[in-house]
Amino acid sequence: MKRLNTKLFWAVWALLSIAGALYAAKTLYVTGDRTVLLPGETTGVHHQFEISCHTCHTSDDFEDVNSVRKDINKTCVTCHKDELKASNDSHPIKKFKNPRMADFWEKIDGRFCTSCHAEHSPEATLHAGVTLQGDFCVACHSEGDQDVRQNRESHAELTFDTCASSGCHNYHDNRALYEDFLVKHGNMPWVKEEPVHLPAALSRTPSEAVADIETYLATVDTALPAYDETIAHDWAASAHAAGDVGCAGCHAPEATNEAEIETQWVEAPSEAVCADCHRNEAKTFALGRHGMRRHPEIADPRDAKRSLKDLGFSDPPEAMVRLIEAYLADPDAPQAMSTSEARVSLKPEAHGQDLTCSTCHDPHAQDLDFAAVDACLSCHNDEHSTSYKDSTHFALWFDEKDGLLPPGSGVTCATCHMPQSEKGGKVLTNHNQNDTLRPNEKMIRATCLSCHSLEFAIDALADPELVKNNFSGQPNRHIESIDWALRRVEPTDTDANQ
Amino acid sequence: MRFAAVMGAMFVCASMAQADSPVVADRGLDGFVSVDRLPVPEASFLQDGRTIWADTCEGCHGGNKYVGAPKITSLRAWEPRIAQGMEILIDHAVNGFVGPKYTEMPPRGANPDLTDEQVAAAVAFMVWTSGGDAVVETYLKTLMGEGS
Amino acid sequence: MYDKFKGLKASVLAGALAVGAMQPATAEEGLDFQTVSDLLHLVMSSDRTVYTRMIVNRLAVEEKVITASEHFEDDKALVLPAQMFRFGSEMVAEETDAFSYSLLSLWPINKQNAPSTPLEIEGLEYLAENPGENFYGEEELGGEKYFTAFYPDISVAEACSKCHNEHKDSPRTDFKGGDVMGGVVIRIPMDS
Repeated sequence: MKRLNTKLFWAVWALLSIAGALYAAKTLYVTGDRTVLLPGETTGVHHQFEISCHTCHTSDDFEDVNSVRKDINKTCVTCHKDELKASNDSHPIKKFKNPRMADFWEKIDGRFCTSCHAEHSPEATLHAGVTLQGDFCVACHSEGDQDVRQNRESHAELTFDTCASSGCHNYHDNRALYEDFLVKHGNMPWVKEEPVHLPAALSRTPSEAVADIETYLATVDTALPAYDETIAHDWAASAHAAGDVGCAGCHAPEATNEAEIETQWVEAPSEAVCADCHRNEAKTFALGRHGMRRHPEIADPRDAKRSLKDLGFSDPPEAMVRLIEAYLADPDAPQAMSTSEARVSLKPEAHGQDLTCSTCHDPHAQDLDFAAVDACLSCHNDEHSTSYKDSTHFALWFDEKDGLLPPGSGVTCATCHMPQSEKGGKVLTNHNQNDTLRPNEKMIRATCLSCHSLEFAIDALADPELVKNNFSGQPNRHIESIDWALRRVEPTDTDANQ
Repeated sequence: MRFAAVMGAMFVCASMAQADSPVVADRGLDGFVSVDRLPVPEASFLQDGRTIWADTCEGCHGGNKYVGAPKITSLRAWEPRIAQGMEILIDHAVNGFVGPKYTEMPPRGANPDLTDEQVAAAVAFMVWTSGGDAVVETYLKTLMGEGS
Repeated sequence: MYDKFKGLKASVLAGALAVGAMQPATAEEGLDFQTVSDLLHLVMSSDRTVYTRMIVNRLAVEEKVITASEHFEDDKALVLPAQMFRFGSEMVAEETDAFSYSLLSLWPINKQNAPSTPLEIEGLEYLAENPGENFYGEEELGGEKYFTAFYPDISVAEACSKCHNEHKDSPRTDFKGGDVMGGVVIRIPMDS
């Protein structure tokens, strides 16, 4: 009896093990929810598409480790290449591919993003997703011709933990920090004489207002399935009305006559309708944390039939495929980011909202003031956000609204976090709210320099306390990079005659 | 300086007839032509030119194929240039010139320390060595005429 | 000095160059590394010369309608010929591992263009001491064997020497027109 029991247990154990292994293998190689297999939380915004493993893990099953590394690194560039190109990358991959760099590959292999940005290791991840110690520059810039302490008198006494942490250098983006730029923008007053952000000024200059909304509305055909007095008023004062985009433009965009408008009417148009016209906004929105879920490069859920084919089942039985699809399919990725999933401090009452265009933009009323400040502050609850309304930047905006200051003088949340630019007379608003952060020196050229000196901007952004209190006051530290750069070009007694 | 150059030119002209025959070839001497492969003219004006040429002009006009400068001793390269006359050649050398194929002759051969006369002497030496000895003879006589 | 090439790659490279005057290379014979490298260099240096003369000299020196600048984006200027050359080499690096090239110098303004291998030091020194000559060698880097060729990089315009002489980061300040300022280094892997 005892023997039998033991045997039975062994058999049950074996069966369960095999079943478990099969299930795990199926989840790995066919379809199914893989959350449980995550080796560790992903970095930054990557958590938003963490369940779509094969966005990054594109290699075929059972590939060797070198191919897997190459494949994974290709996917980094798929999404980040535009950003890297725009940053005028100081350490681009292509620079390290040359075999003459072989000695450096041993130190930090610059051919692969993952050399510095390892994923799934939250405990080792520092600022900007870097998983190396902060003194990583030492690897390549401390010996021979490359020894920066030899090449720069000012750097002789410096230690390598301060290169990238002091507001002086970044590994990728040095557009506002390179030496000649420091020289060109040195010796300037901390605030300009006419502090105005030009693209913002262009967009905030009031357009010709509709003189009399009632009269205007009377001229517009309002025989519509849904007509609401307030909505009509809001719309009439908006850019949509000025651009001849009427109700059907969004609610029945394909309709060509009134009967079709009636039949095709959609009560709540999807974001795709907005994106149809607002292409730049939709594109940049999908690059930031608010809209990342729409990013075109995020992998779709796996197709069971294709996964089976990849494993060698060239013609899997239909019934099997349907069974897998019905019970064991990849979970659908959520379409929008929800405030409940956010990893930053938000107001309790903001939780449970999906982020879409209309979260910040009322579809009928054009209220850019709301979108630029109050929309942000209705959710964000960190010290920087809650301090904004006590800041000089806010006061300037208040005065601009009051007509006391010229357009473009006020600094809203959007002025810095969604900087506007002018292209061919049109003002584009960057809807990737993270584009000028990470590192925050990216903000210098896009925004800060419109009103401030480079020196002030570098100092202010390198002062964490000042960032926290939303720039109320002056920086408490001074970054010497400009002084050092200027000292190298200022004529001295010895070369005055040259 | 100008006076000295003219004096030199006068001095030279007397002995011009006995000057060594310049070394020339259709496409110039084989290989890079450094100054030690070139004859030493008797005229001191041209001798000065030779020294200046070695210091400032040789790097490009010695036949450096990358720079596109006409090679010294090359008849083919120099014949059409000499035909333009000394005045134009010296003007191009002093003030700089971008050729029809956009090759660049920098002002004073990129040596701002040279005087007009020194540049002219170097040009004269180069022309003298590249099939233009007769032209140089006339040029020196003109200089002497101006001086008198 | 160099091995006879046995595989396909060199002939493919030479074919891609489509130099009309060359004898058509067959796969069996192949072209030796030096020939391939010389041909590659001919294309590189010709393109760069055309850029220097017909774009930079024409527009910046003759017509004076635009300048050329290291910070061409910020200064809204032409890229320097050396930068144009470098961007080409970076683009090649993104496309293929079949060959690579770089522009190096014993007197680099940017230290990353200083020689980094023993052969690079030897080659660049040879170029500096023997104007007009090339240098060829073999070296092993990152576990792979390379045929490496060095071609002199010459100061072809006043701007070349002027900028290198006046730049605050330049270790040498006495360049003249026609001087060897550095070298173009072409590498072809020998075993793949």
